[in-house]
Amino acid sequence: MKLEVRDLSFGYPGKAVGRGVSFDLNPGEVVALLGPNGGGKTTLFKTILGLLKSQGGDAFLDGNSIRSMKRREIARGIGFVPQAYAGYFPFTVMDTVLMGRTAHIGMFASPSRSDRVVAEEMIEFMGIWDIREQPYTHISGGQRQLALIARALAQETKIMVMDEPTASLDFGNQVRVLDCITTLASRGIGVILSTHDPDHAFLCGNRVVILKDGRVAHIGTPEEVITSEMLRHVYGVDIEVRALETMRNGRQIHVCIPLEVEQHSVGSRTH
Amino acid sequence: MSDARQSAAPAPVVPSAGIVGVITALSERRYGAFVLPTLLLVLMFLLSFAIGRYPVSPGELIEVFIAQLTGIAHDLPPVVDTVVFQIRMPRVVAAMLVGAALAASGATYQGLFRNPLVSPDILGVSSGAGLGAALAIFLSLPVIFIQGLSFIFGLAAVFLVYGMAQLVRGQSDPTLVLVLSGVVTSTLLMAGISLIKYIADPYDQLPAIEYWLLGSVASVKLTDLGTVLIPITLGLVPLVLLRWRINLMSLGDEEARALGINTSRLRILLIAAGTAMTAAAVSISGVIGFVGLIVPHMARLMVGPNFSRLLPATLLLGAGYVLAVDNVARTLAQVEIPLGVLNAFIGAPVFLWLLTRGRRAWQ
Repeated sequence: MKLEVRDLSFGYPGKAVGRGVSFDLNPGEVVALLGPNGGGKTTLFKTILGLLKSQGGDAFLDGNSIRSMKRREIARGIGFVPQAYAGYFPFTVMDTVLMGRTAHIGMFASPSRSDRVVAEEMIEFMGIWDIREQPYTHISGGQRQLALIARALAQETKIMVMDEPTASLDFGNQVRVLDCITTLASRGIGVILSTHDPDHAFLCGNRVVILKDGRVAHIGTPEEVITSEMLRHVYGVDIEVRALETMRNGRQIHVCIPLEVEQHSVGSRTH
Repeated sequence: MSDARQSAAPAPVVPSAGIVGVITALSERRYGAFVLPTLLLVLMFLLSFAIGRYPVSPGELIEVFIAQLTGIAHDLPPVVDTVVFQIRMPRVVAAMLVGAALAASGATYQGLFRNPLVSPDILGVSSGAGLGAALAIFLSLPVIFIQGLSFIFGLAAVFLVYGMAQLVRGQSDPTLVLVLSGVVTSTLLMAGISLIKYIADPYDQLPAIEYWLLGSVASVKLTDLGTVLIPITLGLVPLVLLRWRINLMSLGDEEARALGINTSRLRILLIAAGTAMTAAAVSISGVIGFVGLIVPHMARLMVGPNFSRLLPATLLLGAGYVLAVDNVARTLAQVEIPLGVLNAFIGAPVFLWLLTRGRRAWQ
């Protein structure tokens, strides 16, 4: 399944957020969406998912316009991981993940045994098996994020849209989620995620889209796009991008090192 | 939970040994949590036939019930039959119907509006019904019109609120706009009620309006029950059928849509169902507040937030609760205390107690 975004303009009624955004998401590809706060990443995602009306242009799922698709059809094609939030009623993690099965469950039906099997599989995949019977409202922000990813996985879609999936996670879980994303891609799923960490784009992205002021500022492979010039242009800070070889297998990886964080010595701080 | 998975997982932790452990384990399983609400309802049902100005002993009660079912005559005085079937039966059934309907629509609305402080009259159904009843009493219409007008006005009020919300909603959160329209419309309708009270005949009509607004099931006839059973059942059917999907509405509009739900269609269906049930209940009982607010809370504490379990629990608890309060209302004092008033006296402390100990019901 392929997602094509063509000349998409998006925003809220009376307030345009961005325009002219075009890119493709092919099966097995990971596209990382980077950009400053307020650049329109979440709004773009909501428009691609058809949750907001597009203000021009369109998104196509296998050639079908999102505008013409029913909610159920979209939910069978695109899984969505929102930013973690607190929740209102104490549904268990299991109940929460089962809600991802909605598009596969009949109007008047409840989740079947096979729906439960899928949900359990995804809970196990995300490493939250031990908290599956705990209320979603009582687990940590990071665990909620993992539960929401499991819920989107339970949708069993060929496209995944993730809005800052690593934002509220500790370091270990960040790595786990990035690994999960590359696993999904290796299974032929197309993933688009937004992130604030360019290193994450290096680690799991095949392509990077930089969204600034609602427009695509740069697009290409992470190595092409994420350079110190680009980072200075987009974020306004000095950052050095270095290619390193890992000690374990000699794989080359790019990392970003912020230069503007000055190293004050302990002694100078006491004055 | 699949059995295979269950056995593969680490052994379940048994809370504690002995009977306490068994009861705890049972109450955490699927049906254990329903034992208490069911027992409460059965107990209240039997009790409400037995108590009152003409006490009926449990033995006599069983005798007249068996006689009624089998058609075999009993040798008790005929007055027992009259008391049980003519006087107490309509009242008992009305209390259960009203309680179940208010509690179920309350639970639906709380999920729909993602707010545990919501009650079924949030969209103005009670004030609409009140205005209809007040108008009928003011125009000296027969009793059937008091019920009819209150039902129709209750529906019309919510229809108005929904229409208003559709007009102004724009891109804002649709539930928020609905609640605000509901508040505005309620205020308007309350002003209407006040106006009618002001111009009504102070010796005859005004007390009747006041009494209706206080809420009571004392004067419900058996024939009334048949009439309200239809809208209550009609409202209950979609709730039962959509019981699992209703859960998703509590995620909020965007997320429910992203998961594949046509939220505007589901929302209007649920509002229609809740309104039909509440308007029908209010049309025979008058305004009985609080039930739709606190009973879903109690039920959530017992069975959790999943609507598939919450719905049967609220129906049982709602019926049992209003029956219990009505039993107190008619036996506590020489003069009967209006159900709506007593309900507030009992409900407010109960709710406070729930707030202090039962936070997990919504957080």
